[in-house]
Amino acid sequence: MAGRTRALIYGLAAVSLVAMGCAGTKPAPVVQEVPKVDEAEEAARLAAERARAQAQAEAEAAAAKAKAEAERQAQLRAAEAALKAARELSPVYFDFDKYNIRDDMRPILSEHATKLNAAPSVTLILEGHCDERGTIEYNLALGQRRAEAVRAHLVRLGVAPERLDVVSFGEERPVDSGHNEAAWARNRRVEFTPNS
Amino acid sequence: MMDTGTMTSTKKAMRAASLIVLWAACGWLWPGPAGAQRPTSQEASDAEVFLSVHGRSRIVPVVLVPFGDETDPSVDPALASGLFNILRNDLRLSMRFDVRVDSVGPDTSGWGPFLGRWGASGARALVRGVLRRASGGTELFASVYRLPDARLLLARTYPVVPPAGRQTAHRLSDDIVYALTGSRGIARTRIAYVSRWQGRREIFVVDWDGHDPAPVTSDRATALSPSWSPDGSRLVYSSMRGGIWGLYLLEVATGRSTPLPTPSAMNTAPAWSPDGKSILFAMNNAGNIDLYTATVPDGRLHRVTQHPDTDTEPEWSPDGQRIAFVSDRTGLPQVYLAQRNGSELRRLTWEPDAYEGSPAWSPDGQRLAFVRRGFDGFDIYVSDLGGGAPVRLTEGDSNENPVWSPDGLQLAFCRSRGTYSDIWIMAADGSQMRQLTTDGTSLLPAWSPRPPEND
Repeated sequence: MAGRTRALIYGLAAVSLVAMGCAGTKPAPVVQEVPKVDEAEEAARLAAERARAQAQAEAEAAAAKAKAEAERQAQLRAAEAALKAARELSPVYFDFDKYNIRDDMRPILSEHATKLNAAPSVTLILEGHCDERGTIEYNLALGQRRAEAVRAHLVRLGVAPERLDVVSFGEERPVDSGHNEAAWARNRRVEFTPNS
Repeated sequence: MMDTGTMTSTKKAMRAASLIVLWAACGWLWPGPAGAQRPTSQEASDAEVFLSVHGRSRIVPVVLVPFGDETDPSVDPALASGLFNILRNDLRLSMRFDVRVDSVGPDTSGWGPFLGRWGASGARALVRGVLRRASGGTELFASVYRLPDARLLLARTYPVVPPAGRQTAHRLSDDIVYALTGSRGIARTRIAYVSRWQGRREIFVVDWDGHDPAPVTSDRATALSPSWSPDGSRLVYSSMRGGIWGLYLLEVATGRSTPLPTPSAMNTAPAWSPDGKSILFAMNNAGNIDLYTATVPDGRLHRVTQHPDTDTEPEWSPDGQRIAFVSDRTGLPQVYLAQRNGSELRRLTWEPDAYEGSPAWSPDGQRLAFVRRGFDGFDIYVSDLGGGAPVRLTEGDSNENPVWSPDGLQLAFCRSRGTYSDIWIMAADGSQMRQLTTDGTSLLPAWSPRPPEND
C-alpha cells in the first residue's frame, strides 16, 4: 500500500509539475502554423484576381488605344486629304489682255478658298502666266496683275494673305506650245504651286 | 566673190526697186526727202564729208583693193585675206557704202594703176592696205584716197591682234566711215540679247557682224531685258533669282554681277540712264506696277509714274530729259511720252484700238520706233516726233523690241515665227534685213554704245 501511495504522489507531483511547467512556459510555435497556410492561399487568390483585372484592363486599354489610333488615323487621313486638296488646286484662266476674274472662274476660286481654309498650314505661290501675244515685258506685268487679282479674290474669301505669294512668269512658261486661240486660252492662267 | 559692174548695177536697180515698193507701201505717210535730209550738228565736220546721213543714208561707192603682204614671207596670206573680208563685210553692213572690190589681185604694185583703173568709175574713194612684220608683231598699214583726185584722206598703221585681227578690221572700218562721212562708225559695237543656254535664259553678247556670240551671265534662272551703261562696260538686266525678279548690274568683261537693291519682289524692264547715274524700271508695289528710278549703285528710289494701271517698258530719250513707256490706262497697252519726272504725259499716237509696245528713241532724239499688233503678230513702226503718221517697217511674222544702232541708221529687233525667234538687223527704213543670231531662241536685243572716242 505504501508503494502505490508514493507512486501516486510522484505521479501527481509530476502532473502538477507538468501543469506548472505548462503554465510557466510560452505558447508553442505550432499554434501559429495554421494561419500561415491560409495567407498563402489568399495571396494566390488575390494575385490571380489581380492578374485577371490587369488583363481585363489591358484589354480595355488596348481597345481604347486602337479606337483612338483609328480616330487619329482617320483625322490624319482627313488632314492629309485636306492638305492634298489644298496643294492641288486647278488653274484659273483669263481673257486676252485681261486680269479680272472671269465669272466662270469664281466658283472654282470659291472651292479653292474652302480647301485652303480647311488646310491652314498650306502656303502657296500664285504664278501668273500669259499667252505669247503681248510684248515680253508687258506680259510680265500682266501676269503679275493676274496673280495679284487671284490673291485679292482669295483673301476676300477668308484666306490669310500671308499664305499667298505672287510671281509672274509672263509668257515664259506656256503649257501649250501651239499658236492658236485654244493654246493661248490655256496659257492665260494663274497656277497654284505649294510653297509648304 | 568679186563684184562686177553688172552685179553692182543689178543691186542698184534692186535697191531702187525696193525703195519704190517701200514708197508705194507708205504712200503719203512717208516723211519725204525734206525729212531725210535734215542736217544735224553731229554730221557737220571739217573732214572730207561726201554725204549727209539722216535716217536713210546716201550710198557712197567705194573700191577696196585686196590687202597685200609686201612680199613678206613671214606674213600669213590667209591673215591678209581674212582681215580684208572682215573689213569688206563691215563696210557693207554699215549701210553707207556701195562696196566694190578690185578684182585684179592683191595690192603689190603700188597704187598708181588702181587709181588709174578706178578714177573714172564713179567710185568716190579707194581703200588699200598691206600687212607687214613689225617689232611687236604683224601690223596693217592702210590708206584711203579720194577719187578721182587721189587726195590722201587716211593713212594709218594698226597693230594686228591675233588670232584673226577682227578688232583691227573693225577699227579700220570705223576710221574709213569717219574719213568719208564725218560720222563715227559702229563696227566696234556689240549687241546684247537674251538666249537659251543649258535650258535657261541668259544674257548673251555678240559682235555687230554676228561673230562670237557668247553668254555673259550664268544665273541659271531666267534673265531678261539687258540695257547697256552709257560707257558700254556694264549691263543692267532683270533676273528671276531665288524666285523674285531682281535687277542686276553686270560687268561685261568679267561676268561679275551685283544686285541693285529695291524694296519689291518684281523689278523688270530696266533702262540705264544716258548720264549713267540711275536705272529706270517697272516695279510692282502693292499690286500696282509703275515706273521708278533707282540710283546706281545704292538703289535710292524715286517714283516716276503713279497710275492704278500698268506702266512698263520705259526708255530714255538720248538727252535723258524725257521718257517713253507703255501703259494700258486706256484698256490696251499703248506708247506714251513724258518728261523724265513723269509730267507732260501724252500718247504717241491717237490710233484708238492700237495694241502697242517697246518704244525706242532714235539717237538724234527725233524719232521713236515702237511695235503695234497686226493680225498675226507685231510690226515695227517709226514715228517722227516732229509730226506725221507712223511708218510701218516690217511685214509678216512677229517683229518685236526694236533698238537703234548708235548712228541711227539701223534697227536691231527680234523676229519670231512660231516657236523660233532670232535677232535681225535692218536699215532704219526697213530695207536690207539681215539675220544676226541663228540659235532660234534669241530675244530682247540691246545695241551697245560705241567705244569711247580715244579708245
